[in-house]
Amino acid sequence: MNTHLVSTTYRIAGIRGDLDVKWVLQELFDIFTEQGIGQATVEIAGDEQVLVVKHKPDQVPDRKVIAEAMGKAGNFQLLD
Amino acid sequence: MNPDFPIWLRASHLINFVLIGMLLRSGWEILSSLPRLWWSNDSAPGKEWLKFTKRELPKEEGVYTSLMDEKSLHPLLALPGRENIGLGRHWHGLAASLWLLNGLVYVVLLFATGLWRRIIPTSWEVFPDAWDSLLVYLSFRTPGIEHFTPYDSLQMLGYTFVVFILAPSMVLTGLGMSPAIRSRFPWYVKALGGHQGARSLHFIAMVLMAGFIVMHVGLVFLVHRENNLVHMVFGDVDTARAGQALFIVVITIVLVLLFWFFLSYWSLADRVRAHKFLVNATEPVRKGVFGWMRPRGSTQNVYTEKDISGFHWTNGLPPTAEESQEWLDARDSGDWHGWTITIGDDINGTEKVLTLDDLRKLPKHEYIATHTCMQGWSATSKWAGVKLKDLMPLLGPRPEGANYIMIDSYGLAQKMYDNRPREPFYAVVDMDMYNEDDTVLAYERNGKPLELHLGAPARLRVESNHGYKMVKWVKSIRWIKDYADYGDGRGGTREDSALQAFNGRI
Repeated sequence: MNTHLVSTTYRIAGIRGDLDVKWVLQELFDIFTEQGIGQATVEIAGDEQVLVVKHKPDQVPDRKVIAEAMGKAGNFQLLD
Repeated sequence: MNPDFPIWLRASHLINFVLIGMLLRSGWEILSSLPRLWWSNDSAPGKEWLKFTKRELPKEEGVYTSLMDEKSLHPLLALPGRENIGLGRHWHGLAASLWLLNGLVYVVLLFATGLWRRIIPTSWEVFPDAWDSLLVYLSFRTPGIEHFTPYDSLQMLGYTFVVFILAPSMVLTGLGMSPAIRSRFPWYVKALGGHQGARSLHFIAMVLMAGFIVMHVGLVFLVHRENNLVHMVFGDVDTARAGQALFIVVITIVLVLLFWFFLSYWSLADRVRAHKFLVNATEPVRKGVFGWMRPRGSTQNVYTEKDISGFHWTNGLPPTAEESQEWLDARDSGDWHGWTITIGDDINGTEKVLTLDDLRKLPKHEYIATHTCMQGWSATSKWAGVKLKDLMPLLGPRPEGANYIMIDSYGLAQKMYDNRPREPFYAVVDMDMYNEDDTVLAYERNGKPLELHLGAPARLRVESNHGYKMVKWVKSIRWIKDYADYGDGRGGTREDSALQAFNGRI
């Protein structure tokens, strides 16, 4: 099987270090399958923080669900 | 001093207590990285016999990455905790090595001093006597002190089982999860039920050991406590000092618990420091025990086409447009038209660009092998490709000063150590790994072109190692002088970000 995947990048805020990254990803892992997400990465470059997720092109993750999951992890926000 | 409890016995007992706590806690760290157990070797979602997670996984291959299954354990429970499987594995290896050494010293002295007669039954009477003891316990009474000489029959059976059956089983099943052992002695791993059989049996042995510990410690305090405590602390039978013994035991338990917790927090405070200490401490054993084992994929007949797995997990997903448009264009062109791989020499600055057809013209090496991820999943496939040692000579002889081969990917790492923007996934192999027959740039799996999610069109295979060495979507393969000069300097993406060991043979 050869499924083609795409990435979607979101700007996020509130991450202070590696532990925060792990808390956020742990909450996201819980919703991965239902949202069709295959992989997620948090990248921090200076003040810029992004969440990059890989998913099938026809299964775009629900921003509201992602934001809720991040909120459950702590004071982390999905900006856009 | 009673001859039944010499100082070496009491010392090894205390050391065992410390080490078994480290083993259990680091083992739970490893299990938390993939909290599912299977008997079948393809470790397919939905086929677990036991799982410690509510997360559902998609049944489709290639749409999720196994790192998403990791759970995070508290540092008070696991060593070190907080999704650190790399460090957990190193703590497990260090504790296992010391535990085995302690156990061997204990067994040698047990037989050399004749004290084995206190533990190992020498009469069939032990069984009816043990049954009588069990009935007494089940009726919430305790056998009289005269039954303990110094152990009663139930203890003798229990200790014999734990020391001579359960402990060796834990070691043997643990070793069964080593890729170096599996690729050199596939019959051994198959006899354990494959990688998943070994993993599940190891887990069951852990549960039995943990249950024994709870029961053993409980009975020490519940059944003739004064006698037990003076035996253990002073090697004495005079219970006049039972109070002192109890105090020392309680303090010791508290200190040992604090030591276990300290190891977790020390590791987490500076994970790179912990990695350096642990890898240096464990590498002599890793190298000495596993370094000589060479894979025999194409000459073994233990794993055959009948063993090929129906499902193959993956760690890391194929490149997307933001990672490599070049790879995507080649993917979409049909038969990877336009795809190239570069072989190079970073020391002298030379390189050669090859196509998929160039690879296919080189001698083809085919074999059946089981892939294992250090997380715990596995899958058996028939791989085909070109041996690295047949590929790199296209560039010329090994350059002077070249000590390693670095392989990097069109795809980016899933995570960097400090969460900086992702860099290309890479791994490094040393000359021993390079020269193994089953270190291959594979372009076929199960007789067909390699699938996208498993590294198409070409990926690395290093069958003596775990999967984190096996770069997918390979872009370049280069001679280098020292891996310390690349990435974070630990010899690969998973070594850098997840603090795995460069030597992935266990």
